Amino acid sequence: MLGLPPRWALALAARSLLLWAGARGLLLMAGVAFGIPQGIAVAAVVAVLAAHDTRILREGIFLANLGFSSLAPAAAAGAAALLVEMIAAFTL
Amino acid sequence: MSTVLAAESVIKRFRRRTVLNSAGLWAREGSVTVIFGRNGAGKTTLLRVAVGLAGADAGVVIYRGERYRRPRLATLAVGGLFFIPERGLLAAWFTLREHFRLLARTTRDARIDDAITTFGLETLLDRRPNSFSTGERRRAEVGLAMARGPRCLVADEPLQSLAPLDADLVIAGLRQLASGGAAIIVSGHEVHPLMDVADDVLWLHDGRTRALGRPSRASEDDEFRRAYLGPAA
Repeated sequence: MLGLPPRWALALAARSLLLWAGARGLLLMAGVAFGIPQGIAVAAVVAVLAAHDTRILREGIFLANLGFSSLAPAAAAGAAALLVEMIAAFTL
Repeated sequence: MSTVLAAESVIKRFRRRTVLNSAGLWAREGSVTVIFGRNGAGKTTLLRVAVGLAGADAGVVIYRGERYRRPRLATLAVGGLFFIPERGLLAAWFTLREHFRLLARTTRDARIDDAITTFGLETLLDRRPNSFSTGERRRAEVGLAMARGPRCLVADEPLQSLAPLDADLVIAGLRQLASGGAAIIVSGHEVHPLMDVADDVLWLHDGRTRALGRPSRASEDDEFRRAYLGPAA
């Protein structure tokens, strides 16, 4: 993933995956329980992920200091989010 | 001494507030430049612009003779720059040993054993950074920087919240890197230790940078004393 060592890419992606899945799950439950419109739920997930991306990018400073593209952590996060979205689309 | 890193005429606005108004900085080969400024003066922003982690509304960054409108840290790092941010450099999921291992893979002539010994990192190697104290974290960060052997080190508040012994270790590391020819620029408020290590002092005030020269000259500057050091200086 953009030259990022696999273990580092996997760790970043796994973390994103957990957070994305967690946020998605909570919002689904909230949506069912309180009837929150889908648009608000999606916006909230995006906000959570954006905040998380900032944190990932901050941690990516170490990788950038070694010459790895600072896009690598973001790419890892994006790939993880996409995977969860695909799973959600097929299972929900 | 040639200038390795410079940021010139940097303007940065946050909504309607202009934080940097034609500010600049520079780091020279084999010397330590210290940048002072009150809280909120824009030191962190200026450093982040200089290393490519923040965009500016105007200004230019010059690294080893190359001019960049908007540099990227990864690009500058390939040319030997290393940045230690104020809020931590280390990745939470990996032990310090794993950080060093990755550094060894990507750095020719990495001086890892030296760095581990110099900064007393032996007992931290198999721990994750989120279990480090502030002093341990800073020692680890400067140790990684030293192992990388940078041509230019930019460190944002490296002495913040450090015990004197840890601060001494960090200062000694900065001095050692400079004596090996690296250009160092650090920010902070710890006037005495930073003045001791500085070759050159910059003061960020009202969005602009003032070059105060050597520490002995800086501490005699009336405006700097009045507006930054305070009456006790």
